[in-house]
Amino acid sequence: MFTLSRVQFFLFLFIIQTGTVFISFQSRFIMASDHNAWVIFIFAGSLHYVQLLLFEKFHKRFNPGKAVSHLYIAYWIIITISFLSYINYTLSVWIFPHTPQFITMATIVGVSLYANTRRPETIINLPIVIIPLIPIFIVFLFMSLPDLVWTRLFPLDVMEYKPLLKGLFLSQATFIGIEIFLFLRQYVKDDEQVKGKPIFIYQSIWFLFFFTTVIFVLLYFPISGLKFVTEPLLQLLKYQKVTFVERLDMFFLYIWVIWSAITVILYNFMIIHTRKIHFKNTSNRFIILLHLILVVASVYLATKDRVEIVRRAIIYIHIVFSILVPIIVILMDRREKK
Amino acid sequence: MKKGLLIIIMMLLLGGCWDEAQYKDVTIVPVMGIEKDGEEIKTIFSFPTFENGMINYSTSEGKGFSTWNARYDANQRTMEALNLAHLEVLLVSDNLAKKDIYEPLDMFFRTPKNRITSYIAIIEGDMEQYFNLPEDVNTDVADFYPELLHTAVLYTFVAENTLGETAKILREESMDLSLPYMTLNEKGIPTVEGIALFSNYKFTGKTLRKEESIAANIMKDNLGKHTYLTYKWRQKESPITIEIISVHRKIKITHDKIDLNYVIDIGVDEFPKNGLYKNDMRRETENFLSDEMKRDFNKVIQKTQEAKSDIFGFGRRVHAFHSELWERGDWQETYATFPIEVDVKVRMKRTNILD
Repeated sequence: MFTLSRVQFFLFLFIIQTGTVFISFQSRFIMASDHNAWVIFIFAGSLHYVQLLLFEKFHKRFNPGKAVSHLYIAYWIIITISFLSYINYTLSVWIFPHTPQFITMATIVGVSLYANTRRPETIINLPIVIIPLIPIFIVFLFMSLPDLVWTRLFPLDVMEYKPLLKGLFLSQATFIGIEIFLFLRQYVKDDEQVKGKPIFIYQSIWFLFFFTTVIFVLLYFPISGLKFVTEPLLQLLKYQKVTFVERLDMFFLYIWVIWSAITVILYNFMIIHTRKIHFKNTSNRFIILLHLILVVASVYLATKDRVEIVRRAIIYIHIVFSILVPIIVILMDRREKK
Repeated sequence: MKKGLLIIIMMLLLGGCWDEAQYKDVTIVPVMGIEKDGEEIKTIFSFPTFENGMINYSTSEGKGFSTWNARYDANQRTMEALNLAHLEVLLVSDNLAKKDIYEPLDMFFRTPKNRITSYIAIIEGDMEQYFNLPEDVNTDVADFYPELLHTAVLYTFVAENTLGETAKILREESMDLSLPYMTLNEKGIPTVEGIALFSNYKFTGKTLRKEESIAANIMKDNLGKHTYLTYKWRQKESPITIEIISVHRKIKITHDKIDLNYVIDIGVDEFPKNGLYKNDMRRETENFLSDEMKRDFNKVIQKTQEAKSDIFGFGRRVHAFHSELWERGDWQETYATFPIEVDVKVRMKRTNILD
């Protein structure tokens, strides 16, 4: 068993939530929300905060049994496969068109396999690797500041509710992983406060991170041009002319791969750890099998069509597991206690 | 077991080798030209060759039904594969730009290895002449065009137009593209003549001359490092050259007109008549320059309206804040006839080291 400090807990959550998603979600989100995207994201941010507050309030009542834990394990496996297939596809398009895809996947998944056969402390401290990369990413992003067109914040049309709902739905991509709060909260040291200011700080960091990326993409690209751009942040950096490196997008892509690989490791940790807790299974055979499945599935799904299908489906599944299932589990726990 | 695991890990580290690209297998293309040849696309590539320890530049031409196809054709006549990862300048002929310009450019944006921060310019006439520089130029194509365009940007003759920026503006309904326009002078030397005006995806065939192009960049508040304007002050029988220090502009859009108010801070770089130590003379000069610049700005507006080319991006503000005006129909059509009033006030901030 392990314990987490407050910082470790929130850093774990931040990497899980940002990981693979942050370079790609903006295109579909902005296309659906039009110029209203920034307003919708402020609303989505408020919902995220409410969800965190509710999770904090009811986390002690969240006691998933074996069946629910099984479901979550399956869900996280799906999430990991979707992330890996997207990473695989993106890498094959941007940097490694000739490298066999299973080699790329085996490399990333291999790191996860190694990390997940070590002590939990190794993995818990892994997100620290990302900390120095975040300011580098932000500095890169701010290089495009002179090219931003502020009039693209308007016109706002909040009367049409369908695009607003669609935008709100697609903004859920940034919420993926929030349910891990419920699973890991119990490991935070008792003497460390989570509710109140710490949650607010986490929420602010999460919001500022995603909101900045939304604003930059919205102000940088004309909306009519976004439908051609699958990874807007990468494209934005590709447009930058700098003297110290030929292709800024490549530099950023490597940062993103490290970020994503750590996210995959953390998800796999959750899968393995939940299995250990609920099924008392500590064998390495499951860990190896899990990683083999990840390699095979992510290679199979790494085509344009399949990646798109998985990306579309994942938000529906996420809503079930981050809202619906927690509500049911918490309500059932209350009923049992009565 | 441990040895086997180590070998597997080391093999995985060789992952990047499949995508290794060696310079000996490719030839870097710094300048490329695309033009229309009948129904086909013709491409010309300038690339370095090494002979007796010297670098010379050769060209290769290709034809095809698309830019890639033409590139592929040209590739069959070069020893190594033509590589656009370090492209510095792309020249597009006016006959091709008058069609949909995005189509021949698509391959630059779709392939991640291509550089999209390269300059792009429109040329008048036959592309081949632009790749055979006269002896007077004394330099290679690969050095000449990047430097020529860089200087043009530095001196505000043109804005810094890259391939990436071009793609972005082409996809925007509320602003039109303007690209450097090059012609050959009487000696056959390529010159930046001004800017080519686009309406939607197409080159309109209308251009702004160099002085008008500088005025347009001042109007956009898109200044290079140096911005000079020279006027003949007939009344004083003297030329006057000024450097623009800064531009403050206010745009007011209503449903029936656009008001453009400019306050422009300048320094005087040439005025043989002298006398700027007198307060009255400085005011008189300011008034003269205000009138001259107002006239120039109006001329630019008139030309862009004739070309139905909103290169200033007024449409962006109209789209953002004036939905009624935006919904009148195609913005380029609205812009062409929309009343625009210009007012310019010049403030002399420096007379340099002479009065």
